[in-house]
Amino acid sequence: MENKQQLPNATLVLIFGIVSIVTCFCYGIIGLIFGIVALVISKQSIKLYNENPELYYGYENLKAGRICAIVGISLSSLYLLFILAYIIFVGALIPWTEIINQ
Amino acid sequence: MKVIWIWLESKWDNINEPKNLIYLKLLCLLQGSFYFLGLLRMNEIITFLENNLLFCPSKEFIGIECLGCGLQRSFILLIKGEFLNSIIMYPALIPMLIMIGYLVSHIYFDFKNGASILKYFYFLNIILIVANYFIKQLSYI
Repeated sequence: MENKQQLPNATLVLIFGIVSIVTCFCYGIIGLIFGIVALVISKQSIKLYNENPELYYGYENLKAGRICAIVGISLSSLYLLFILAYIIFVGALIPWTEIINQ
Repeated sequence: MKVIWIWLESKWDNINEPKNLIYLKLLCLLQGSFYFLGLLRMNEIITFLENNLLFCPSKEFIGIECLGCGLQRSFILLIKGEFLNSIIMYPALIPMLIMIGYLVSHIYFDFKNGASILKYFYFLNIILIVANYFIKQLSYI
């Protein structure tokens, strides 16, 4: 088999994995979306590669993109949890009864 | 970009001129691009960017800075040419720009160890961002 194909979506996974860190800032939601999309696509592509590994090249891109996506997801979800916890604890401290009674 | 690359490759194939001349031509191209940057009215661009900063929702509504606060200010400082101030403001900006440029060139030219280098750049960026964030938060206390 001489004519090797490039793995479909390998570069896409790499781009999305890297973009997930660049945009993980606004509450971490955008980064979460990008990371999860990258993970889902990469799972399909890994299945495709494992069926016949001789056909494709560009598996390293896929692996690096997958690692980037996992790290981005973990970081942005941690940040999202931090923000949620902050809202819950600080929101409990606000005197709601006084505000409502006014 | 691709056109320039093809032109360069055709140049490399039939080398009748010494290598130094090609480097000189490349340098001239670089200088020409700088001249083109000079034609852009940078002052107006900088004032436009300074007047139209995107606000950070978490800083606006909750009161804590997010991981990306300082990115735009540091980018404006970088355009102005104050490298040190931009590094102090947000140290992960320059590696991030390098990483994005490397990503685009990796997709075009398919470097040999491009994926692993991108991975290491990614980890460097994450370490810089998180460390900078915690140091900034500690400085407010």
